[in-house]
Amino acid sequence: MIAVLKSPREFPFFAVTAGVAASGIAAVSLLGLDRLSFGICLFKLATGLPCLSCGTTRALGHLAHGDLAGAVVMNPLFATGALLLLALGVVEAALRVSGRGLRLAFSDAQARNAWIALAVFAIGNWAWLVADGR
Amino acid sequence: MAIPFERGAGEGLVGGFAETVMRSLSDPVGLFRGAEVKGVGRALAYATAIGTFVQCVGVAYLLLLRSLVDIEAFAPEPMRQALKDAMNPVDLGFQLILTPVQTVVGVLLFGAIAHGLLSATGTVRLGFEGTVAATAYSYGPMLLAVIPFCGAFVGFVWSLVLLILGLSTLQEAGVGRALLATLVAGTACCCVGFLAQIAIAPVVILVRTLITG
Repeated sequence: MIAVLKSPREFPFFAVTAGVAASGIAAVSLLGLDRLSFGICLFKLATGLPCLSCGTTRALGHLAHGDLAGAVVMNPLFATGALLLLALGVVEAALRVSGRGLRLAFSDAQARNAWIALAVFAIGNWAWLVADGR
Repeated sequence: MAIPFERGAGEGLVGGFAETVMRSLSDPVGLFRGAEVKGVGRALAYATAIGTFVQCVGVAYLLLLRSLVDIEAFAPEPMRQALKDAMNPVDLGFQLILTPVQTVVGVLLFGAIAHGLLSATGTVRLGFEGTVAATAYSYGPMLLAVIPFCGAFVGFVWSLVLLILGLSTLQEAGVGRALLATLVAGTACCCVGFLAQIAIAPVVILVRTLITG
């Protein structure tokens, strides 16, 4: 699953992607995008129901303020994904400093199970957003 | 070794385009490592094709949604007029016509600033065309915008990572310098884009008023 490599990879995917995500989180907080007085989701405007990613901006705003629980409640899928990505990025950056690397390696069965788990999580996430009135 | 879309026309533009998109998604390091670039024409054509297609997809989704429901009626007051204006045929037409121009100018401007920074902070393997190629060939993941709702967001983040990877690998500049160049050039391009929108808004409003009365 997660393998520590003896030498760093040519490009630190996790660290860079986590850096981009962290920049996005900072931008959300600095620009106050999580505090808009109106929604911008066309799906919700049209149907009255939240889309799969509704609450993501507010979840990122919670993350920016260190409120992990608030972020997960706001959008479990994207908040968990962002936290996982940030953790992998920090680990990869730390390993790179010590001359090592990090990679995710899945067998076919593991990859299939991971996709199924992600699909179930996404459906559960959407059900939560609808139930919570996002 | 050349990026697939940079190969001779005899090998097929469409095939080269598709192969470049697929490799930018599946093997980005391999796509950029040691690649040779001839001029900026092919790279700009690649970015323009993707940028225009993505813009068309966005407009199509908006029109499809509008045909199904009265979006303006659902929108809260601060968004109502903005939505109405954004879906005016004149505004949509301007968007579609200007997208190729915006893409070419954006890629060249970003490339110029990023290349200046990369050159100022160390050596680069290729000239200006290499930086433009890294910028343009990072557009591939934006095609994920065809996936409704979160596709555009995921594609944008992926493109940004691919851009940093492209600059660091193609120009052999290192991740730190590529990050710095992306941050500075990206911020500058956002500011220029914002000012350009403000500058062009009166023209759009004037044409809209002349056509729709």
